[in-house]
Amino acid sequence: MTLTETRGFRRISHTINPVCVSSSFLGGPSSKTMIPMAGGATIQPIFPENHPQPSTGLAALANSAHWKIERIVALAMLAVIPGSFVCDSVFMNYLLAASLAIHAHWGMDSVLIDYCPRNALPLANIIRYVLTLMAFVGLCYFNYNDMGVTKALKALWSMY
Amino acid sequence: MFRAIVNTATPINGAGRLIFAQIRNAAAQASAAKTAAAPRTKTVSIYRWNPEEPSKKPFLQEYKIDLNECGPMVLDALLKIKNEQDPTLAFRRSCREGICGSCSMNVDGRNTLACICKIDESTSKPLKIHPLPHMYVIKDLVPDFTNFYMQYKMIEPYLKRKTPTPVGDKQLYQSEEDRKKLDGMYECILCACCSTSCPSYWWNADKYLGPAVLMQAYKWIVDSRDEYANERLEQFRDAFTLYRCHTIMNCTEACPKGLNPGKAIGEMKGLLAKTATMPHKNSATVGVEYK
Repeated sequence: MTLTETRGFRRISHTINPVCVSSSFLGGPSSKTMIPMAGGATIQPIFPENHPQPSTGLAALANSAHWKIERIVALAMLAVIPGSFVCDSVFMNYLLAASLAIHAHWGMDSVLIDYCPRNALPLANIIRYVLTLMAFVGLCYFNYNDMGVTKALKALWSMY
Repeated sequence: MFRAIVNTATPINGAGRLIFAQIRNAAAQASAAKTAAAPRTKTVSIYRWNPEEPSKKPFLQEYKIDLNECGPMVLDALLKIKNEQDPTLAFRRSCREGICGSCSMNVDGRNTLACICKIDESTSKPLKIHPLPHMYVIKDLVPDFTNFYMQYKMIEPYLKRKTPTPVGDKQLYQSEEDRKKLDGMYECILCACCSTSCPSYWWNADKYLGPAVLMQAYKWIVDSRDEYANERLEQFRDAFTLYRCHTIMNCTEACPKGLNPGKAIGEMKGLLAKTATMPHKNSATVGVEYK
């Protein structure tokens, strides 16, 4: 694979994908989009098939609803974190554990979509779910069997 | 005008030069004082890549220009280099006044229009010019806009009507308030400075539409003459086309026209999450004859 090809250009004979050749936008490979190369070859920019399916039903609702819930949780955490210090209770400990875990879970979702290679994404997502589960179960275990998240943080603070 | 005289005077013989010198002294004393000043040599470092030499890696080529003999804008410097030093340098330009959006490029690390970006006058630092980041380069400073235009096509950037509307028969009227909703969006010249400054667009350009296209989509959603607002909105419900925006706001920071694509995207998210209501459209003044 030459540098030209890695930079997104393909030889015209390689554009097998019908989207590349029969784009109504460009009217097919034209003299305007073809770039002649040294040695008589021609290169042509390729275009990814870029038509998002207008998803319907539950999956469609999920994304905008998801965005909304994410914001609500983030806003709620502004109250939950100081609130758990003010009124330190069992309920607040579990609320803090749950909101921390789910907030980190959704945050990592965005990070992975942006920075994880696409073909490694399924594996990374499995790891993300496992880690979130471990974090949540671990915090709950700590709440149940030990002093609890808030007290632990307070103890950490009082060390200095 | 004076600049032209200086430029043409150099190849002329001694006698001609003397005449020019006299004109110079008589007519433009202030300007003459300017030329007497020491040349302000600025190094311009430009990204070069030639598709005809595909095995050669892209590199930065340095040119030296005298700021006294160059216009104030980056595009003036590029044109000067292309005219006088290196005709092989490739870049897009057209209107030279920031209205066509052709000369968008990365100047000193910021996406901007070369024609309305002033050259940094300090001669200690080189002027660095790259093509728009994360775009496929066709040659030198010319990026491939195909994907960007395909995405723009996808939002159907034209008026769509449900009520039968004979084309070219009558005007579609719009109230002043409705027209005002388009301010800050209709000025977009699709130079792609915002989209190519967006990290989300860098990583997911194939699926995420990018701020420029999304702002135009919102423009058609709030346009009182368009009757497909809800259908237009529905196509952004998937995880990528709109929701890859993380409110980084590089788009608003980069826009050379001072527009705010970040706000338009935020409004769209609000409409989809039903935390905002569709702006009221004063339909009484829209196409009275067709209602």
